[in-house]
Amino acid sequence: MYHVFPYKSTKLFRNLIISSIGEYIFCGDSELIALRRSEPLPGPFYNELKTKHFICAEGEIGAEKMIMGVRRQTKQSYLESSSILLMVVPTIECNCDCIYCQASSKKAHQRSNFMRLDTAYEFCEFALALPHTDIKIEFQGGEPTLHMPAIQFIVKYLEKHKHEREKSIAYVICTNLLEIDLAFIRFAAKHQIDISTSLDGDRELHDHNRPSHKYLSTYSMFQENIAKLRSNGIYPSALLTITRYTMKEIRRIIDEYIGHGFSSVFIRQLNSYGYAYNNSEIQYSNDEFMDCYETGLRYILLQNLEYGNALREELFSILLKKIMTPFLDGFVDLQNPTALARMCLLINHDGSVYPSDEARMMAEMGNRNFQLGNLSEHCSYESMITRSPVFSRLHYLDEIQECRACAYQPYCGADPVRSYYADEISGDSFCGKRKGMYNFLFTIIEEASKPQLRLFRSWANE
Amino acid sequence: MSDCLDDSLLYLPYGMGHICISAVDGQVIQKETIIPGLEPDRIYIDSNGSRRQSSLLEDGCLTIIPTLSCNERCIICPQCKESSGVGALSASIVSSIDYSRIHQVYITGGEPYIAAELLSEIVARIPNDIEISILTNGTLNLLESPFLLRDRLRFCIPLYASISDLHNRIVGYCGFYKTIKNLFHLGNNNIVVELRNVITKQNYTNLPLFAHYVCNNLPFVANVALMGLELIENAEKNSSALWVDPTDYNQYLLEAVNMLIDFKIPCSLFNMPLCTLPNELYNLHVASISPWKRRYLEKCKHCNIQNKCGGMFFSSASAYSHYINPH
Repeated sequence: MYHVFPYKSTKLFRNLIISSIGEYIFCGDSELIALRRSEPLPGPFYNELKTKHFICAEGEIGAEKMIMGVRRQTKQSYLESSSILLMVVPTIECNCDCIYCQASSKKAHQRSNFMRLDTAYEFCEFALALPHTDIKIEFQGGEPTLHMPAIQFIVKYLEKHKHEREKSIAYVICTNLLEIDLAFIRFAAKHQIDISTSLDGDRELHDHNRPSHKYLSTYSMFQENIAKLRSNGIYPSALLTITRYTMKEIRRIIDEYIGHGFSSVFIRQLNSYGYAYNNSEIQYSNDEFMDCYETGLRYILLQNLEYGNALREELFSILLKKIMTPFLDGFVDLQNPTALARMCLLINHDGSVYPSDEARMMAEMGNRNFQLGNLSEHCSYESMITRSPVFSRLHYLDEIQECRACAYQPYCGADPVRSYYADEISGDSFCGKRKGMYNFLFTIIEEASKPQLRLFRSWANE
Repeated sequence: MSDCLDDSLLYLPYGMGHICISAVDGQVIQKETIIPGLEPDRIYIDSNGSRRQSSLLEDGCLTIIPTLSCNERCIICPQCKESSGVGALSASIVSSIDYSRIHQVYITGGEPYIAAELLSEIVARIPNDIEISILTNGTLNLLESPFLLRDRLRFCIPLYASISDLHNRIVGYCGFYKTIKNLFHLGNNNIVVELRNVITKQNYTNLPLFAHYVCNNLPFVANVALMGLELIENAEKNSSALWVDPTDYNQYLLEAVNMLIDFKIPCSLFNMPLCTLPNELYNLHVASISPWKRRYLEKCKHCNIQNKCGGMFFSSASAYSHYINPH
């Protein structure tokens, strides 16, 4: 008859079957039963199953395995250590007092909050010695622009030495834009540095979420400075953090993004690290977030298809890329085996190295279990990433009980830091909002009109 | 493209006139000469005393057929039946050609890789600045000879369906997985590949799945050519099993093309009368039918977009679309 490759199924409106390489099909009950029993299949269902590598003839198993091997290899190309994201914290100080700050940033001025230039030099040499050829450096904080000397040193040094070391290097500065001046803009333009910023809504919502001890209205500064950047040809991307205070206003916030002419928005759920940990005034449940996200996403679709406002949601686009295309989506949090330390590292202002931002946040909260080392020890990348005993556990989703039977496993990611945090500190489930997010994603794909489906495919291939 | 090369004499453009050579062994019969009645930029074939113009050279494109033998038995094959076999064309003919008028060479067949050694020799003799497209079914070992990794090569490979059952039925051979494997090899080596699919009654409902297959397994292809059917030779014999009115496959075509576009895979439509296509696909239409094979219907005379339309194959005109609708 026909050979069936492993797949898992779940039920939304219809049955959804997902193969180990992440191809999926919606089907009815009778079709699924026939497949389970290896009975003859209706023609169109047979064709779709075969096209998507769920089944083949007995004599074709070898060829199909070869094809699926290539597909898997493409999705897991991060294991070949070609590209890496290095998050660098030039300073832990900040000029903003966001009510949800996850980074435990510091207000009191102290020299020890800033990266020393010899640490910046060690960082550059560390980056140039990595096995990866494509490096993206993301300056975050604190507020990184408060320590421009370190940023300038790193960028100039790497630009000077990248050719001889055969690296291609790109830069991003994550900034609240409060203290952007012309010198900064010239520097960013000269080195083609991308700017990533935050916008939490209109004046009332943004100023509420993002107050500052130095500025009366951070929204005013945002408005003023984004205009300056754009008039110099720099178009920042923006991150939207949802708090309990703003979650009911998601449509209003999206209108704000459209009004500012952004082409994309990243709707971010609060995590429970740093000052956000146990702050019930701003926190909400996963379900509440999903409600907000769904409302927001449906509103974005409406804006795109009914009003011609091209705004793309970034998280949704990443997930679409994951499920609709054969390509690696590059989202560090959702790779299996884990991409932490292979695809990203965080280097703190004091030279300490972590596999992820969350690992650094945990360290700021007092738990240094996931620290991989310090640049001052001059040890190699390879020896560093194998050093933490807790980080060497839970690299595969199959090691996590609740993930083993989950149909969404081919799209999901292992994360030793988050699973440790869920088990040992917060007591939440590792899954968190993930299953709800995938349920929503496939529901909206299943119901999608043809124009919506085309929009999804174009987002997936952005 | 379908001329049989077991004809006796070839007149190839050379200098101001032509050179006459034997089609069998490439021996020069008559050096550069001006022959009355022959247009300087055309190839002529002289077979048993009757001389006719060949389609082998058109608009600076030269077509070379190393062999007419083929390992597949496509039900849509537009080729005349097989000639005497391997080596029907001598490589030395290729050297006799004056390339100053040629910017593009198509190598087709038959299956050119059946004559792999001859093919290597031919490619080696074509000057380096000329682009070469090889039309192969991709079932044989394409990468055996290292010469094939050169930059100027473009492979045009047919894939008729997203599943082996249907593709193999159309090509009359278990070729599907061999072709896929070779496509992967070409992709790995960053060689330019154009996929070609001919739309028939057999496979038109498969078009959306075909697009899904290409986007997910073969996203590296440089172009996907979707083609209307030319009803000659084998295809004519099987016409009742093959002919489908373009108007009937429109919606499937549109769905497939939209998916390819969304995945940023370039795509072009050949051999389809413009007015049978959905409006949104007009810009992908290529007026591809050679002038000497092309015809229009009586009612097309007054069409406003006839100058953009590729028309129909005269050979297929007995089965043209019922929905030809002049603008």
